[in-house]
Amino acid sequence: MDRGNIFSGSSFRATLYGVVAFLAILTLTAVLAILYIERELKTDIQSQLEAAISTIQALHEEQGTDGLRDAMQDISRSFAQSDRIALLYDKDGNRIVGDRHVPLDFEGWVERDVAVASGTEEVAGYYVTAVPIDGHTVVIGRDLGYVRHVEMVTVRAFLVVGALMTFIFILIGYRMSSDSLGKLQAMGNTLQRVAQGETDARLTVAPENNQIDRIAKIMNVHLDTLSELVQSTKMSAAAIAHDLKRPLSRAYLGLESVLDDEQLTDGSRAYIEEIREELAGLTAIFETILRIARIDASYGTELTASFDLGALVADLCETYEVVAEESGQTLVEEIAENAPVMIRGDQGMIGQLVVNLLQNAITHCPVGTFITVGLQNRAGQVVLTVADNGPGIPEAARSKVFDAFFRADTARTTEGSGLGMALAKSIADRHDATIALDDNAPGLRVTVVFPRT
Amino acid sequence: MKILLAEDDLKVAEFVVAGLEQSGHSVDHVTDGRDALSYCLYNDCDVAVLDRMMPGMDGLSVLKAMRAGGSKLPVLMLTALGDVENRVAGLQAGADDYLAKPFHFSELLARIVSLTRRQSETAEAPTLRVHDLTLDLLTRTAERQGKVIELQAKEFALLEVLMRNAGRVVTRTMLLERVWNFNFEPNTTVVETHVSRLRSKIDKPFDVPLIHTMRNTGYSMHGPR
Repeated sequence: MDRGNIFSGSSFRATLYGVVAFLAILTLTAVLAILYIERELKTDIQSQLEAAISTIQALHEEQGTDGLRDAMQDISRSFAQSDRIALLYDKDGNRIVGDRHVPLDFEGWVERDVAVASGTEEVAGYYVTAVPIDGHTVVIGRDLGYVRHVEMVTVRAFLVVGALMTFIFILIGYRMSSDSLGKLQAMGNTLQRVAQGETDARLTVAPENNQIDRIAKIMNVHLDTLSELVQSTKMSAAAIAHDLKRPLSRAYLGLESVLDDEQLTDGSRAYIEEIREELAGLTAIFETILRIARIDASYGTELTASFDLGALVADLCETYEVVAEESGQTLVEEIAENAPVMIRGDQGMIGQLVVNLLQNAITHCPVGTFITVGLQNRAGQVVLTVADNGPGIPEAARSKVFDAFFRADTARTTEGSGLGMALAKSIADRHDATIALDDNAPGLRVTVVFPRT
Repeated sequence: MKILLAEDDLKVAEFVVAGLEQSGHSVDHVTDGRDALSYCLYNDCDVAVLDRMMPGMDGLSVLKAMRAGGSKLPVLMLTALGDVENRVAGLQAGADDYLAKPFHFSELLARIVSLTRRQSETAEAPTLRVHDLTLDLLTRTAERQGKVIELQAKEFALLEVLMRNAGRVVTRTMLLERVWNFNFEPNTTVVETHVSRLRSKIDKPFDVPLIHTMRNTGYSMHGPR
C-alpha cells in the first residue's frame, strides 16, 4: 500500500487536525498550570517568610535594636545551610547581618539575582522582600530554584503527554486511514474486475459497518442489478441466437431441397442461392454472438493448456500471406524469437483472434498495403502486433472498435458483421491479455500483450 | 448404405431423410435417444447421425453407451452447440465427426460419405494416387506425368485431404477443419485462394483437370469420368 495515499486519506487528515487541536489545548493548559504553580509556590514562600518577619518584629518590640540584630543573626545562621537568606542593613545602608548582598532599590516582594554563596559570582533568582524596622532594613528571601524545578517537572510531564498522545493519534489515524484506504482499494479492484466482465464479483462488507461498508452494501445491490441486467441481456442475445438455429436449420435444408428441383429456372435458382448466402451470413453472426457469450461466461475459469504461439502465428502467416497476395497486399512476418513462445490458453481461440486481426487488416486495407505481423518476448510478456499502412481508424473511433456491431466504416460498404474485433476482445480478456489499437502513422497497429506464464 | 438418423426436430429430419434417400441411401429415423441406442444394439447400419439434444437420452450418452459396448459404428454428431469445447467433448466421447446446426444438406452428405470411407481405409497406403497424380506421404512429394511438383506445406496438406477423399465431395468447412484446424468460419477466401494456387500447380500445366469445384459445396478430386 502506498504510504502517500494513506497520509492523504481523509481519516488520517481528520486525526491530524485532532492532534493539532489537542496540542494547542495542551499548551494552553501547560502555561496556565505553570502560572498557577508559580503563584501558589510564591504565596507559600511569602507566607513562610512573613511569619519569620513577624517573629523578628516581635523580638524587636521586646528587646529593641539589639534584639533585632540578635534575632537576625540567629535566623541568618539557621538559613545558612538552606536556600533562604536573611540580611540586615543599618540606616546608612551598610550590611550588618548576613554574607550576601542585595541592592536596596525595591519595595514589596520581587525577584532578584543573588549570589548563591558568599564570594561567588554565580547568581540565582531569589524571591525577596525588604522590610524597614527601626531605621534598619530587613531583607529576607528564598531561592526560586525549587519553584523552577517544579515547573520544569510539570513542563516535562506535559511534553511527555503531548508526544505520547501525538504518537498514539498518528498511529490511530494511520490505522484508520490504511483500513479505509485498503477498503477503498479493494472496492476499486472489485469494480475493475466487474468492468472486465467478472459480473459476480462483489465488494466485501466488514462487520464494523462504517460509512465505507454501508456504501459497499449499496454498491453491491447496484452490482446485483447490473449483473442481472448484463446477464439477461447476454442470455437473451444468446438464447435468441440459439433459438433461431432451429428455424435456420429448417430453412437451410428446405432451400436446398428446392435447389434440387430440376424444373427450377435459372433466375429462381440465383434468387434462392442469394437467400442461402444471406442465411449463411446470419448464421455466422449468431455463431459469433454465441461464441462471445460462451467465452465471456467462462471468464475466470483456469486455462490449463499451453502452446507455442510462435508456431501458431507462423502457420497462420503462411496461410494468410497467400490470401493477402491475392488481394494485392503484402504480409510480412517478423517473429523475433527463435525459441518457442509458450503461452497459456486455448490454441483454437487464440487462432481465431489472430485470424480476425489478419482478416481485418486484409479486408479494410487497399491494394498495395503492407501488413506486418510481429511477435516478441518483451520482459517476460509476449507481445503480438498486427500493423498495416492502410487508412487506419480515427482516434475517437478506436475504442469503439471492440464494441459489438461497431464498424469504423459507417457506410457499411465493407464486408463483416462488426463482431470480429468484439470477439477478439473477448478472447483476449479470457486470456488476461490486453488488446489495444494505435496509430501506425500511417495505418493501424493492433497490439495484444499476453501475461507472462 | 444404411443410415440411422436420431433427430427430434421432425421438420429437419424430414428434409434429411428425403435428401439421403434421394442420394440412394436407406434411412431409419428415430426421435428419442433411447430408441437410438436400442436400434444400434439390435440393428446393423453403416453410419449413425445423432442429434446431441434429444428427449429420453441425449446424443452424447447414447454415443458413450455405444462405445462402452464396443461398437465401432461411425457416428456423426449433430448439435446446435457448435462450440470448441462441445466439439472436443463429442470427439472425446467417440464421435467420428461433428456438425453444427444449422447445416447445409450437402455438408451433411459429404461428411457421411467421408465417414464411411475413412472406416474402410484402415490400411494406410504410403502413396495416394488420383488418375496420373501421385502423392508420396513419406517423402512428401507430388508427381504428375513424371514431373515433380513443388508444393508449400499448406498446399501439400490440402492436396492430401482431397486425394484421401478422391471421388467424394470435400466441403469448405471440412477443409478448414482438416487442413487449417479452424473451427470457425473465416470471412476471407482462405480455402478458395489455396485451392486456386494448388490448381495452378497440379492442373493448369496439364490437359486433364483433377480438382473439380462442386457448386455451393466444396471440391472433389477425380480423374476424367
